Amino acid sequence: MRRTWILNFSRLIAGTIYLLVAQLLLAQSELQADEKFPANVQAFVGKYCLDCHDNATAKAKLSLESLAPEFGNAAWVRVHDKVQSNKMPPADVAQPSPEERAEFVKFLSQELTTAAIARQKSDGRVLLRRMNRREYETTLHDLLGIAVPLQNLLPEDNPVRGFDTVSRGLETSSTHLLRYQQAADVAITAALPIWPLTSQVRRWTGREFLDARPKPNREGTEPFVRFEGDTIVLCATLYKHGSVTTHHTPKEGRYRIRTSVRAVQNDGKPIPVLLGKISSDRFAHEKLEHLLDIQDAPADKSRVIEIEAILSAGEQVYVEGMGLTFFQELKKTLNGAPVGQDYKGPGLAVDWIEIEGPLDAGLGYARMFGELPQIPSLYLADALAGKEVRDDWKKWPYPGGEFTKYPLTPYSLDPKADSDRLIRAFLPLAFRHTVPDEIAAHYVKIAHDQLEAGEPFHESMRTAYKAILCSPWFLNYVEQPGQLDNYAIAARLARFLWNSQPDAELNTVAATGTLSQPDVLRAQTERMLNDPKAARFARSFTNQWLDLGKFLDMKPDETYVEYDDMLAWSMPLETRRFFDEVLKNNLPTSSFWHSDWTFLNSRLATHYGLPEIAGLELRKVALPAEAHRGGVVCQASVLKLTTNASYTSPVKRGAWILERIIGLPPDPPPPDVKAVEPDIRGATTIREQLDKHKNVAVCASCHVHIDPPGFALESFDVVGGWRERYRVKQGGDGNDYIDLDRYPGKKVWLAKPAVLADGVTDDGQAFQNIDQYKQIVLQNPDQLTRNLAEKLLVYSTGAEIDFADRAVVEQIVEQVKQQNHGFRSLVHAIVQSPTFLSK
Amino acid sequence: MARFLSQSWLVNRRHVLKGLGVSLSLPLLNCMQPLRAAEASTRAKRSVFIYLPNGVNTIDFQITQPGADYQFSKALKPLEKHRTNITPISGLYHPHGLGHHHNCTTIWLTGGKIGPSEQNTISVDQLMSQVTALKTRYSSLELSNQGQGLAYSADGIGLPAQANPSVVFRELFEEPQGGIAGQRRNLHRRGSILDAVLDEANTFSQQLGQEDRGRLEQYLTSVREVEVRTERADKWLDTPRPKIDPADQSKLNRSISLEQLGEYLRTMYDIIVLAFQTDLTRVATFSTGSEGQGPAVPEIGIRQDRHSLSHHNGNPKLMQELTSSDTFNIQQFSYFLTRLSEVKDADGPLLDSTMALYGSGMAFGHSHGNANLPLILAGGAGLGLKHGRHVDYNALAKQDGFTYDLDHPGKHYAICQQPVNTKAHLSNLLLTMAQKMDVPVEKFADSNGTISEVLA
Repeated sequence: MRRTWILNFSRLIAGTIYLLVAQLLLAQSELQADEKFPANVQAFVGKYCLDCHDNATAKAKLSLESLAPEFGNAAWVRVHDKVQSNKMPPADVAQPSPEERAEFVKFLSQELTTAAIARQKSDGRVLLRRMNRREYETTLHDLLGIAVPLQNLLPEDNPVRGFDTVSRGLETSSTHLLRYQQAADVAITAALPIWPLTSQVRRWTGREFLDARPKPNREGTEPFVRFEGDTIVLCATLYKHGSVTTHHTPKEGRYRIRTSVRAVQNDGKPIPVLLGKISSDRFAHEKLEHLLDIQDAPADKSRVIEIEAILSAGEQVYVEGMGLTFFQELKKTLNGAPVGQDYKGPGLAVDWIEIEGPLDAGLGYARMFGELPQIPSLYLADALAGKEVRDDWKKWPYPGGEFTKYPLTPYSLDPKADSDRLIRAFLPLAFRHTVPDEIAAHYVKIAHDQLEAGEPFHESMRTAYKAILCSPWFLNYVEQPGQLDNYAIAARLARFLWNSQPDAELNTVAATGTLSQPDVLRAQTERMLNDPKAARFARSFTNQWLDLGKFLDMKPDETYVEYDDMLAWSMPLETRRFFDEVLKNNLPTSSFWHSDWTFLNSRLATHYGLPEIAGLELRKVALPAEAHRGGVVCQASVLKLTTNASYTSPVKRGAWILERIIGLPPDPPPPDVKAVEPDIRGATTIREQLDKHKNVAVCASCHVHIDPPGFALESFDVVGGWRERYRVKQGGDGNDYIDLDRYPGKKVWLAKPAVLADGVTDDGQAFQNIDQYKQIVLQNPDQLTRNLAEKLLVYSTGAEIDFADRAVVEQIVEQVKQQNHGFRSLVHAIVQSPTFLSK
Repeated sequence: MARFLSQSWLVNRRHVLKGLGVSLSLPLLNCMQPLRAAEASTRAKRSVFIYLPNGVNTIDFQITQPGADYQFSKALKPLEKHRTNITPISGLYHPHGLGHHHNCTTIWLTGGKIGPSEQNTISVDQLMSQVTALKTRYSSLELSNQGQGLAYSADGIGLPAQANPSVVFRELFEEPQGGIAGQRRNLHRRGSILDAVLDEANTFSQQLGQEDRGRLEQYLTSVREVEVRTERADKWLDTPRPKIDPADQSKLNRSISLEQLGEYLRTMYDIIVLAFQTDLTRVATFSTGSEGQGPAVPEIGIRQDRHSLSHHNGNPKLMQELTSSDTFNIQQFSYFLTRLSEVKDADGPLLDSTMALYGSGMAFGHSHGNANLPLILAGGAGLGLKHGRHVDYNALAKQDGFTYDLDHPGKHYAICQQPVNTKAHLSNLLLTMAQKMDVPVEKFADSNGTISEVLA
């Protein structure tokens, strides 16, 4: 690609600049900006720029006559980039020699770097950043051991450069402040249950489950099940309320669900097991919304399936054997008779099912009230007066009952001393840093003032904790310009990889002051990536980088008859599992562009027209040579979320690929672009329309980049299926009504013209289809790494790439290149970079 | 706590802030006046702003004759019955919007310039609310069905907007739990926390560099605004909320999916009418969709979102669907005007005391043309507006008028791309409306005059 030489060129100077950056950021030296332009630069501007960019003409509203030599001004970055990339001076005027150009670019590059670094040193690249609402929720969940939803209580955040972590977009309004108070209240309440709550394991066998059901429910289920000992065998698919379920949850929280299952009498084949939520609102959920996971029950030999899920109070998890006959069908087949013990049809055997949780129960209480006792409010006065309280209340039933009226209330016989002690212990956890005495004293005083005003101990403490959770120290990530201290590094790392706060170990390491040592930092990063909490990073990064969070937004047109819940469930999961695999095994960044493997289940294999796979659980599969798949760009999820509901747009897909995967986003259209006449009736295919569009010179400058990936992906339809002709709504001239391959009984209309997926890249390399186009892009693996380096740096630090950061990015690319472009190596390189380690 | 209820409390806050060396924008000071002192002596004046994303199919939307003898275009037909109460306006634009397409919504009511170093500025509705806030329980109402709304604070920060009618209804009309005493107690607790947070900000600010202090300023302004709101909420506690007819309640207090767009829009419009009728607020903004994904209209068979439709590339079917979507949205706005004319306050129909501006910050979505913005000004006769004419700034630009050439779409698209009349700033209209709301201003954003054509 033509633009690659620019990058090679920048790499040449990157080494020098990087040293400068590292030196300036990490050493504490000062640098003075030279306020004068050297003679050769003045000559360059006079000779090649001023014809158009003088005060009189000021083309594109730029006059170099009056542009002050202040290199913090983004206008100079534009000048630099345009000259460096040969876009200026324009081709139809006199051109500078390569040496002249290089000298000019070098001068600007140094000045811009110096200016950017001066700003980084005085203020830092990252403006004081508050938590976004996603981080707010997970941080409080981890801090208080709760799982109550909080982010929906807060206003939506505005993403910048596609990420919700960028400080510039994270503003604070009075509504935020009001909602922070509400959210803090909800979180504290969730951490202080009004009745005794401990984490419990509750298990029942298949038989115990059915015996415990109320009679009408039991009678609804009985005709479609049989028993093998205490194991229940589901012989049909039942409504979720008739299927095997766990106990109800006592409270909202994080739970672990385990069940022992196998497929019986199913020709030795597995049966996919769906685990879903049943809420008290019986009909509120579409299947996709209550679906937690699908795993396969193996034939004949039981396997324990285990998942973790966040559940609301009173919810249950049910299991369903997918693909079994629907119970009403079975009823017809059996003429209303129960299946009976001798039934020979297939079934899902459930030995037992258990639910454990809420996990982390008691953590929030311990952190806020330590070992202080609780008592129902009815006896609070007695307890405080030192009177003996009978402990009958420990036998009160719950949930509900007496505790609703007389909630458990923490109390203290020495409120001032206890509040002092507890608040001082809580503060460093909340503020992610050691807390100086005068600040701690301030929050202690809040509780003491409340006590003195006659408020009860637990209310006074609640007010103090709310103040802590609304404090600027909690809501903002406080970082000092220059190199970050160990606590700030820990906080950044925890927010990057866990969307949350540091855990005890990370805090301990930060306290020793060794976290900034490369090997210690590396070990901690590894440990954190291997922690289950790292799934939050994978989820939130792919939700934004690949738009997976918006996957369900577009509902395909009804001509896509094959689109169903199972496909909608499987599509994004392929991409998530793929991302995890690349990260886990340190596979090259180019895997996201192309791979000879992916994750599939039976549904996706059918969708992709690949050899049959048994079961719905996703697994790593080697792709046949002619699969036309591999990499995230050929996954149905990405293909679906880059189109409109009824037609694919090469422009939309092409621009998306350039911006997200290749990392060379097209320039925005120039502001003085003339209106495009789009009324081009007579054009038949989108391809032909675009060819006309491209003949307009002003459009061509961008479309030469956008169209190739867009065209290459034309072979994929709205739901990511392979196509050779376009699908249309109905019959017409030359259209055919044909059977949909692989979907018996489903027919669709196809338009006459064949899909064309060929094209020519901007530097003249021709390709016939996506497979060939992929190979062209693979010639430059550095660019795929560079793109991810930039995205990760923006995401993890919370600021856009500024001029001085470019050299750091190049250095990271060089380093990761030596490690086979490994994605996990890239994450390490980001964490170890001077940019990540400075404000 | 006693301090919290006294008026001197406010002075204390300012004192604390001054101690920080942080300069605060002061427009809120109006709100700090003793609340009861500002009893309304004149009629209530109201404004509402409604945004349609992605522009329109301007070929079917444009009205071509200036003045009183104009004919309604295809998309505007549903407004014909309101002819005497509306003014279609052509030819206005935001100079800072030209050539940008990501900020049409953001600057629609601010006229602001946004760039790497430029922050947005206050939106006109918030300017108005500084005047009306003294008289109503809520200073303004922000609604948006998809993400960011239209309102921006004095610091140019987007105010969060609410999408769910049920949540809006409960916030406006339902008494919060706990009775007056319980609520007051909660407000006092809130006050203590704010006091604490502000005291703390002093220490906090010492830890910060210069740019970060600017950021902290935002946070402090927020604290102060919450204090004002807390103070105001406290004052209003003894005033009961209006009683709402149970039939209205069940109609409005519900969540509606965007699959039923018409139902959704009418419910939101009904809530605005009810909020105006009960004088809970006098200023409202409603964004009916985001530029990225303006809603489809499944109930009339349009499954593409407005953004996809607007990039129609001349495809006749998509253009026709865009017109249908435009017409559908205009129908719902027409319903809103009908409701405003049916419901009365002490001075007559709400429509006479309410100025409603409907429109988009985009004209020709396909190539991001944002001159000649589609705009309809309605109502407000009692505030001194006059209607019945098509105010056409394209025609006013030239001695011998302006001839629209809709048969050659390219020519029409060109005037949606570059203004015919460069002086015709949308800010002029926003200024005119602000003045009619008694905001004492002579200039708003990049205004260069007022729109005298709509003044009686």
